[in-house]
Amino acid sequence: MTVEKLRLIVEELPPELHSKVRSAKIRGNDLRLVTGIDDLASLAKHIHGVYQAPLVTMHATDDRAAEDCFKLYVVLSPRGMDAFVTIIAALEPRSQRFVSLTPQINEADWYEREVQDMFGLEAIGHPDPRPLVLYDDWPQGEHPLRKDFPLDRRPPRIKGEYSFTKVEGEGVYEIPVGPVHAGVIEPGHFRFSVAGEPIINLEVRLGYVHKGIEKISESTPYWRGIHLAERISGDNSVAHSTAYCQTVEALASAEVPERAEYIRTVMLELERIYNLIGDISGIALDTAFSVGAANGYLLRERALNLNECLTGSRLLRSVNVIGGVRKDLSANDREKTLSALVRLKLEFEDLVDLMVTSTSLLDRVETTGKLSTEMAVRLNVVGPVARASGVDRDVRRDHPYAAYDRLNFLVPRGAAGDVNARTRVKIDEVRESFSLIDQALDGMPSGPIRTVVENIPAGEMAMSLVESPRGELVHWILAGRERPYRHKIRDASFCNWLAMEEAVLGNIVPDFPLINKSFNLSYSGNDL
Amino acid sequence: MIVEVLQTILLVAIAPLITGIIRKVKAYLQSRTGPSVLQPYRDLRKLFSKGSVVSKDASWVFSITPYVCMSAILVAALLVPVVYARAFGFVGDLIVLIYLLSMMRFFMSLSALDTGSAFGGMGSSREMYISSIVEPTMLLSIFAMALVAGTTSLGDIADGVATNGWDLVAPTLLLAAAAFFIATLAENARVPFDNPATHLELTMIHEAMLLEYSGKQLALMEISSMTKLIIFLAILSNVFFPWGIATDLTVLSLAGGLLAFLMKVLVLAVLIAVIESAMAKMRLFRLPNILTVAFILSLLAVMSFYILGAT
Amino acid sequence: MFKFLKLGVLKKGVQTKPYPQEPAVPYGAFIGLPVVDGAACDRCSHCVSACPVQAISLTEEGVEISTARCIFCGDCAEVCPKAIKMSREFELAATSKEDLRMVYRHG
Repeated sequence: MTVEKLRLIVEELPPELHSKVRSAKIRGNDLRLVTGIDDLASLAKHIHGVYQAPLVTMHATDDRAAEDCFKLYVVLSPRGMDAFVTIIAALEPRSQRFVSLTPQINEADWYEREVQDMFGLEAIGHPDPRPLVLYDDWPQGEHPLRKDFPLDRRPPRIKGEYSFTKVEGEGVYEIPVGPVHAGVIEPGHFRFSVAGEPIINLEVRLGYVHKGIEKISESTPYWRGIHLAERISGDNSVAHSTAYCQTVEALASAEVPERAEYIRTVMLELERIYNLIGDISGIALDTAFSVGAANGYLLRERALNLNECLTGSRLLRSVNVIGGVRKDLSANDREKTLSALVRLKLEFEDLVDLMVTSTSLLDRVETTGKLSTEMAVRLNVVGPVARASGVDRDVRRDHPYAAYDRLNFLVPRGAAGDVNARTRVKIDEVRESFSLIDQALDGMPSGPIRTVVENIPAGEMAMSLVESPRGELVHWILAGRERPYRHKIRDASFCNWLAMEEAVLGNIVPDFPLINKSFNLSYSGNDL
Repeated sequence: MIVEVLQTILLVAIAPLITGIIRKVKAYLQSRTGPSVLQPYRDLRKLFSKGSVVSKDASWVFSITPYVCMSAILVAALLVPVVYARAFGFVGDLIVLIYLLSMMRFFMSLSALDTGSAFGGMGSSREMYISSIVEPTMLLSIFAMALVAGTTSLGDIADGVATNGWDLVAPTLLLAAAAFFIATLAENARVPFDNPATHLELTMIHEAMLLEYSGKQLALMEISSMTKLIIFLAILSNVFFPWGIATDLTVLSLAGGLLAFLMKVLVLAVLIAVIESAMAKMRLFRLPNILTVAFILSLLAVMSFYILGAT
Repeated sequence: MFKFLKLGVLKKGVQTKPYPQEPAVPYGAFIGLPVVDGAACDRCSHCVSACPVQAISLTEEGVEISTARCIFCGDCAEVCPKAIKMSREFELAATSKEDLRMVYRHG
């Protein structure tokens, strides 16, 4: 069925593009088209436009040892089918330039800037070619993800300067905030241009917690990579490790036992619950509604205690292994979970009642930080933020994984796109998660919880998408012998930071922390 | 004389305790135990033992501001009746009090701009924006009571109202007290105007002006803020509702005055804590709405005195 | 209007406990510090290669675990259920580097 639709995509290509496709292969639900570098932009634009396919990821690999060139991979996800289109284009030998996709596909913006920094390639025609990951004191010519850059290399630092966008005008001044903030939060730099209190322009500069995970992954054996994946963004441990395990299992074409899939689903939803409750409480905290915040964090603590009860780890670490899950859920665990959830549900409804009936809180969150639907689509925003702006996309429904294709759930959406809409979407998602856990515990089949996965063929490519509490995240691996040859990770926050720059326009400076909290983006997941 | 000096010392000494009580009550309302009520004393002791770091762009204004604020607030504390219905009236009256507080605010705003940091500048501009409506409110509401007692010396107002047995349900008194209460919340950086416990530097108003201070100077600024709060509470309890205050110097009436003062301040502190827990902080540009309400109330208080006359 | 009281402290009471006066007991099968039964260890060093952060080493005296490096992943206990168990110990703060080494003697 899916294979037919993918074949149709190739057949329906207009003749001038059809001739440019050098090969078309289908593996699983992934259509791989190989084309030349000059035709990459037009082919990607065609599929992006005609099939309304958002960009899932775009990255490069360094194949100079084997094929004397760099390669670019563009992955798109056509609407309405559980399938992907991967376009692979090799750059000219010894060339480092390619035509930028950003003028046609706006969401490729940061992906191309990352490719420029990490591989030293040049995207011709990119509207904003400033460095994204590497800092001003990084010397020219040193590109970390190239194969000839050893893992332990420490280049000498030089003097350099980064130019922020300047806004000229009467009474306009710049406020630099961070990376050292007045509270204990992750580091990130925000450059505001304001005229009094209303914000005229915001520029976000991240990269302070870059840990080099993609590079480390290239020297980490597969079975150890789970620990690396869990620590990309600490509060999305299960989502990242599930995506990683699913990718490796897809590489080996291994079948995960059904019981393991159900347990993974329960864990993923538990993670979603504690994260979203924390987000909702954070909104109360940032508007100084202390009773709501205190009660919210109390609920989050109960959810974390439930996690500890079931898996021994508050943040659900060490849950996944390649081939399944590590620990089984006994009948006793099931009983404990169901009774804890009943109590959690009642207290959650109390919290929601407290927050939506507080007029002072509602006054702060309505019409603040509005993100329009067009902007959300243009920037390919993901997760609850996108759904609150009217974009209907949820990986659990569109590209089902684990046990989601066997469970019933709704995907909550909002239309206003302001802080209030995002909070309501998150509240509804928590309710759906409660229902999903109940269904998964009820319908869990008996059987083994893990299968042996060996024989990961070198040269094979696979990817996996998972809906983390923040949105869709992607792991893509090109397999090497015992470790990944190239591991591309894209956390949900990578897509959403640019949307923050749009959402704050027209709001006043004291509302910025509230908007930031309603997005709740991960600095660490973005920086990798 | 001795009693007046002692009552000023009492005021400054229990100021951190009142702040501690407000935090404790807020903690209980949030279902947590919270720090002990004596914690502010420990915090101050810790700050006094630390060194301070001063930005090299700061001028002499930054260095003298903690001392200016501390001295202004101590002089203001002399003017307020606490236990005995007379204070150092010869030093000044209510107009001097209001302008001592203004001097404190002026120097704090200047020192925040002095270091050149963006947050200090934002804090100063927001502080000025709020105080432009709060100051006339404060002045008018105490002035309404001054009209009633016929004098502007705070001690004499307290004495006059207490001995003349003013009727509790008088509109002038209630309107003026309501206006002054709202002004208390605004001047002392309480929710819904400002969150005193926030870590978000972009939303701070009062805290933003203190961000650059450290060590001893920070301790002095904190004491000034806490004493300012208790001065406002003392004015609310002893100028607007002075029953119980000692009007002569006998031991019995002084003891009664002390008890009455402590009880009234405690009730007000708990009331502030409850109001802070009940609502979220208001949007910055909606604050003039509530401040103007307070101003109108104080205006009505003065007008009602002239319309209804003193009984 | 009084929801913040009715749904707050009046319904729940005070929820915090005085730690450390009252001990904090972890729930369930909490994954804490790994503990080695020195007598049961037969020095196969599977645990050394299983550890992703090289926190375990085999020395003359016995098995040495560095609590500074350990990330509490549980891989060592999975590879050697005979001799290694994950305890519920989490109060691991130390004032000297020496205290961060746990040595489990052989035999």
